[in-house]
Amino acid sequence: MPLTKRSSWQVQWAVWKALFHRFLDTKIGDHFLGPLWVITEPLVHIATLTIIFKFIRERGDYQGIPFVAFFAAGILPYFIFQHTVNKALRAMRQNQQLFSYRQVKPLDVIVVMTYVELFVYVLIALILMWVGAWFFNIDGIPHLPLEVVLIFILLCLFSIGSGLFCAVLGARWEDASTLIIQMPLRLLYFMSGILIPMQSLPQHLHKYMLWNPLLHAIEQIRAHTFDGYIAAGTSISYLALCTVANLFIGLTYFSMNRSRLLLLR
Amino acid sequence: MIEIQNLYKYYPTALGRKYVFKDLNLKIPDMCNVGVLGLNGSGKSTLINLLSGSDQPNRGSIKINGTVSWPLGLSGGVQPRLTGRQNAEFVCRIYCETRNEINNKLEFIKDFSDIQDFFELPVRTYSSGMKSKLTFAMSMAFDFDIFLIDELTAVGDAQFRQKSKQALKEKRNKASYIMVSHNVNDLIKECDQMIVLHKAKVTMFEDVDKGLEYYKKKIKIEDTE
Repeated sequence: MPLTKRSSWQVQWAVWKALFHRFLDTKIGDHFLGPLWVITEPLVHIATLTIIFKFIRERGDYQGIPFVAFFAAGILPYFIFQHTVNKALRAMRQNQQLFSYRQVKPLDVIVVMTYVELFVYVLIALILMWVGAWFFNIDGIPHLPLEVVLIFILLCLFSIGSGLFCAVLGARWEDASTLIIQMPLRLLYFMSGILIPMQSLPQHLHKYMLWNPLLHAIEQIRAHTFDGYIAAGTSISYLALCTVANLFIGLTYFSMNRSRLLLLR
Repeated sequence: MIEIQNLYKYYPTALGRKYVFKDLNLKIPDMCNVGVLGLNGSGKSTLINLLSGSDQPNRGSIKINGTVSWPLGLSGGVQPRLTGRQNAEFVCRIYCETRNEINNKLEFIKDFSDIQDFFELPVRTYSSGMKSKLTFAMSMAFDFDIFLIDELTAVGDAQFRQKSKQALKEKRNKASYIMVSHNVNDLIKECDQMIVLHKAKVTMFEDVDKGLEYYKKKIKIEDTE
């Protein structure tokens, strides 16, 4: 039975589907605890933050939003970005074998990798929303869902842009890239408004912090999820602008270096 | 039919650009089995990689009529953390359209690879023999027009080798090979034409024996020098 002739789009779609399954399988792993760990990891993170902040602060909420919901709305989107960038640094080396199949291109790896992160963390967010609403009477269901979807799409594209850039860095300078990217990434965690809402920070810091598009993404997700949350100074359009710029830089740098991404050892 | 036109390929190194091919022109007719001969580092694998599409030329073009396999004989294409089935499924997914087709191929791969229930276990638990059996079975599942074979020698035990030889022979009616091997006897037996790579010079011979003669002469000249 000869191979059926397929259109380019059919091949592209088949590759994306296959990669999605492969990456999801790899993320979950071969142990039965695999799926459990994928879900527990962010939960432990959220729980730890909640417990610590309950001790530090006397109240259990920000602007009337319980800590759990507040942190979840910050960490889950942030993880999509962070995991993509971290994985992208090693992606070209780790998935080198895939490029011996001619229809799989480096770009596909980054795009699908980001999508897998989006898929996993949105799934966890949905589970959390349901658990929160059903058992704990915490209202975490977005009151403006379409805007939230838009922000997630933008965040995903933003992550693809950064991922493309980092994939080239990781392929060209394996060790240096860890230092150049991963250290600032740690810092970014504290500057993206995951722990404290913008509103509670000193006014004179705002103009510096607002350069960070991730802060805009996270604050806007909260503003569109929790009714009455004040996301001072942030906007979706700034995030969109950064996304376009980021995609442009990422794609350009990636295509300039595309021959360097093949046959790495 | 494969047509290579004005192809340049170099690798950037710390010592500057190392050219593998300079202005390479080559025409391989349909249904013609070609052996590739050359010393280590003469560009045999690069040629195979370029034809398979896993590497890009720096300049020039490669036109191929028909479907081309990935370079057979490399067992790097499997992810050790995934099971044999998951790995095979990935390849089936990128080459097949319908679920039905995918299931048929998976059945075939499991059957052919002869690793029984290890098929459901992670590849990292395999012995090296089992791993190459799996990858070989994966490549036999698809009917490519052109098979690229990079040093495919002695896969698995005697029994499996017999089976794989048989399978390759059956493919011969519908497909052609481009074969890299250090084993000259294999090339003489299997091939109709010969490509000799020597010092960035690529020569094509329509007669295998002539190619071999030329190759031996080239090497000898170097020895006597």
